Amino acid sequence: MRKIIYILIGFLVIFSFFGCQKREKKELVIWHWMADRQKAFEELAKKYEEEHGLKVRFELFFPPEAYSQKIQAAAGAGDLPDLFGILGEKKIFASFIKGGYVEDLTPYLEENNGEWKKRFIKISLEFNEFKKNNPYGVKEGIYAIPIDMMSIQFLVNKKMLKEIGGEIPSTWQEFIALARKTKERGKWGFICGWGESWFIYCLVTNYAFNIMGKEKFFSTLKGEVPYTDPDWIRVFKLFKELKEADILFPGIVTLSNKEAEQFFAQEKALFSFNGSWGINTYFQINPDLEYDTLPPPPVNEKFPVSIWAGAGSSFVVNKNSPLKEEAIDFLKWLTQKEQQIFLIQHTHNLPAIKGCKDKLDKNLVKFLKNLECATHPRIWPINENPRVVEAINTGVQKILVGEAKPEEVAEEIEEVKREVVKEK
Amino acid sequence: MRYSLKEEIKNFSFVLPALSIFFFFYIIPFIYTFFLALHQGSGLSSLKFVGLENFKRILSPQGTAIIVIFIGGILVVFSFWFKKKIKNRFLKIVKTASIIMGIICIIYGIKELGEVLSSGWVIDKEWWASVGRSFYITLWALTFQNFLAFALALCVDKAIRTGYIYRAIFFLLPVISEIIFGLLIRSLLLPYPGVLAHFLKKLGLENLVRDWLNDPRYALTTLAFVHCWRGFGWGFVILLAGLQTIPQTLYEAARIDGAGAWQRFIKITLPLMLPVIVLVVILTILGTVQVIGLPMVLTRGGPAGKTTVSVLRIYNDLKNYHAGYASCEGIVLGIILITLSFTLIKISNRLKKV
Amino acid sequence: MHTFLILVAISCIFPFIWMINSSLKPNSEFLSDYGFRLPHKIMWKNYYIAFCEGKLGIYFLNSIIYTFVSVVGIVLVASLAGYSLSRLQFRGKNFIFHLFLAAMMIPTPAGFVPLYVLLKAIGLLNTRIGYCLAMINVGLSLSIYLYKTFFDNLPRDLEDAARIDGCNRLRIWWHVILPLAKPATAVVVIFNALNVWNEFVLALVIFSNRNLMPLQVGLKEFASSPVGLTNYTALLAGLTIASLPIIIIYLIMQKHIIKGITAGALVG
Repeated sequence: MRKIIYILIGFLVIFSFFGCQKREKKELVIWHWMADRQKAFEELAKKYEEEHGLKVRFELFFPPEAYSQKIQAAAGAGDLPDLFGILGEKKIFASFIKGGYVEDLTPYLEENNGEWKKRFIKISLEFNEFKKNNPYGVKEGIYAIPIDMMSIQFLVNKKMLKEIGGEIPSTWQEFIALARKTKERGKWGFICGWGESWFIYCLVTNYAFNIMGKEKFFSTLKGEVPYTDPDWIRVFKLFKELKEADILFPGIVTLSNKEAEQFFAQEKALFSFNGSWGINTYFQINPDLEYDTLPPPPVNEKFPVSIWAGAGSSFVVNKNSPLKEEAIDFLKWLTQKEQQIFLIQHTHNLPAIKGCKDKLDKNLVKFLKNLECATHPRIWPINENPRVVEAINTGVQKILVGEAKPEEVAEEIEEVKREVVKEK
Repeated sequence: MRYSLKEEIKNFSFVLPALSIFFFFYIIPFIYTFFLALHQGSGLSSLKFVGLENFKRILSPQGTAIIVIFIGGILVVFSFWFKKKIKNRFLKIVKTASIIMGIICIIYGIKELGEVLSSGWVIDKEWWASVGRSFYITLWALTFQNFLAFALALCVDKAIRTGYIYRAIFFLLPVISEIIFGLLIRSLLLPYPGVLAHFLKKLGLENLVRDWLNDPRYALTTLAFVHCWRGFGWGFVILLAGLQTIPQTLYEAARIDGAGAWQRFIKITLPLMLPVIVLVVILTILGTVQVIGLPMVLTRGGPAGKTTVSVLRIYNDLKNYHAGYASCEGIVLGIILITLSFTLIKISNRLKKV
Repeated sequence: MHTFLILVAISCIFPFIWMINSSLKPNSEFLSDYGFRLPHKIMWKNYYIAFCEGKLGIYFLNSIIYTFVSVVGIVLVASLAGYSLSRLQFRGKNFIFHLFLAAMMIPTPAGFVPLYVLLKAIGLLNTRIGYCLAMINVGLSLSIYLYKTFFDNLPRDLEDAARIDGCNRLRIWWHVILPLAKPATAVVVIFNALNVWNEFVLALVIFSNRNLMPLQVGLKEFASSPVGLTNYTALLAGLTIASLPIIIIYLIMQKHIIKGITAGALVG
């Protein structure tokens, strides 16, 4: 008996040695976090190998938080792969660039009269661009290539809308009225994955643009306007209205994005607020779902309302990679029409390049609407400190569960803002 | 019997493999954690040395100053206390160095205190709130979970024939991974589709139905309850084992002497079980304060941050690339835990002597 | 009293039964009754789907390798250390013991960064051995404590007899101590097997090769893949597969575990 155990142990130890790193022949390694795309990526890799003879390996690290930790650790050890994505706000992107890990891709985009650059929808490239004199201290240029786009808009279930005899709302008041009507019929008015707090900030900024205009919004970020300003309180009051209208899906403040998508697909709510990536889930759960997109119904007409749109996922090129040229070639190939169409058919995400509109799923096209009022923190001249953003998100959640009044929340946020400004 | 050096080295070599792995995988990251705690930013290019800034944010500037003075004081006092016992030259240098460091700490601390005494008292309320929540859950664990475990252990101890079945069953829950269990429970407790609510209605207990996971008043308690339910298996097994070490003869003798069941419990079971109980208490505290999987999956940090416990907060900070601050929080938490455990052990030793 | 026991027992078993019951249903049926009614026909296909779509086969094998190697490693390393801390004399003995204890209490949040750098420096990054060593470290503190207290309570006679017979320390450990420590070993095994089996964060950081990932990582990916998101029953089948081995290990080692704690592995 003992001998068998010893042999087993020895066998397993030796076997575990086989997991050692082997020196592969030339191979392009790409790290990412997109669980829904690994299969599509692998097929593309195979195709590329057939066409160009270079092996490409996509490695998936999920969940996204673990992915962030992985690239942090790898950066510290100089172990980053040839191509990888960077999650998080622009500040993180900037620190990777300043650390010397990211290649400046502007020269490649500009060569041949800007042939590569011209392929892209403008806003998707702007997402990854650092302009002159940016507050991050990064040399101007474009540092990442988008492989798809996304936009975040309001959604409405067309079937349910017809049932209550309503039209697509063009003002906030109409929206609340319609949502209330749905509630009377036993379904809910509005659902969103507000357990993921950044989503709250998205809607807050969309309405901030509507109520006070871009300029005043950026002034607040600079610290020139306090969060206790009446315009800001009006923004927060909107969430109070949502709560008091009793149209919110139960437990909305702990719902994950995926859960909200599932329930919307199961037709439990009339309106939702989500990004174009949700199409995949909607399709999987309920292929017959009829829905349309609309911009957030504005509160007043003074300033336009905004939506967030920009690059969905982007890849950067590792500056220190021995296969840099090959990596850039691969990126160019990946953003060609044929490959982009393959990707969007597989993942139902918006393409990053122009000229694919006719190939898009009918629901996907709807997310291309309203791009005139598109914006995104990534292209803003200044970004709010994450601690203040956290305070805003927590504060709005408190309003949504009825724990605090908008004025109190505004006070708390302003307090955090003052602290942060002082620390500078 | 004095051991020769060769003997000592041979003995030491036994602990060498453990120590080398430990050094490599824990000590070095631990030193790095201390190093990081003095910086802001993350392990990329954005590390900025900020000295004690992180600690000041957690403990408030006044608090930090006071603690620095305190540490300085301890260094000086201990060095002087050792004065008589040290003849070795090396240790003499260490002693002198620590006295100097102690005095520097005290001076620096007093200077800091003077500067900040007038300014407002700024402290990271969110962090301490999250620590408070961890301890709230721990309180539940110490009472509900451990009482349940103890009660079950007592019953199973008596149930001689069927005991082993129960033993197997009660330990099943801790065996499932936290994440799986959390996902399972979340789907039961969610107000929609409302599985548990449906169940309660059927039993006629409709007025017990609440929004357990999303109502800020109940979320934390729900989390505590779920955690206790999952965790009592560990306490149960340890307490049961402890109970089975008490020889039956003691009980027999007591019964002959006319002691009732309650008296037998108080005079025999409790005193003999004391070390086991202390162990379970310490393990419970350590395990519960560091819980992270369950809050993450069950409530994602809660309605308006109500279930963000300390380790979850550290994890979120890390996710947002604030590694320096996260390390600082980790150290503060660790020190709190060490102090607690230490105190508990000392108390238990004192009680043992009684 | 028995009613109390039975009630609690039911509440413990219930999640399992629900999980297994739901995993045997077709997804459409699950969506309508949420797993509370028995399946109309048993759908083993869910397990097949979980296995293939989630590629659980290789992940499962990996987890078994890691658990086995790490646990064996810990038993050897920790029992060596525990024995020496309990019976042998050397300078700094107390200090080292308390060092191990303190390690249980201080979390190192950003600890994976230097870990990554160090592992890369000695070339053990993205290898099975590297991961197993990291896992051994995770369980070291508690296991050493278990062994030490156990050995503290062990009567010395057999040991002394062996020494008189002329065995050196190492042979005493191997032939006398280890066999005697079986109960403590049982406790160490179950503690650590549980930890290693359920671990996934370190795996994601250390490994860059999909084929080396353990089961928990594969499960998480599966839960977010297109199949896992919509086919709940397949997901539950995957979860059941993931929980089964550890339950089996526990059921087998149950008796020994109680004996181990009784014999003083944890307390004097």
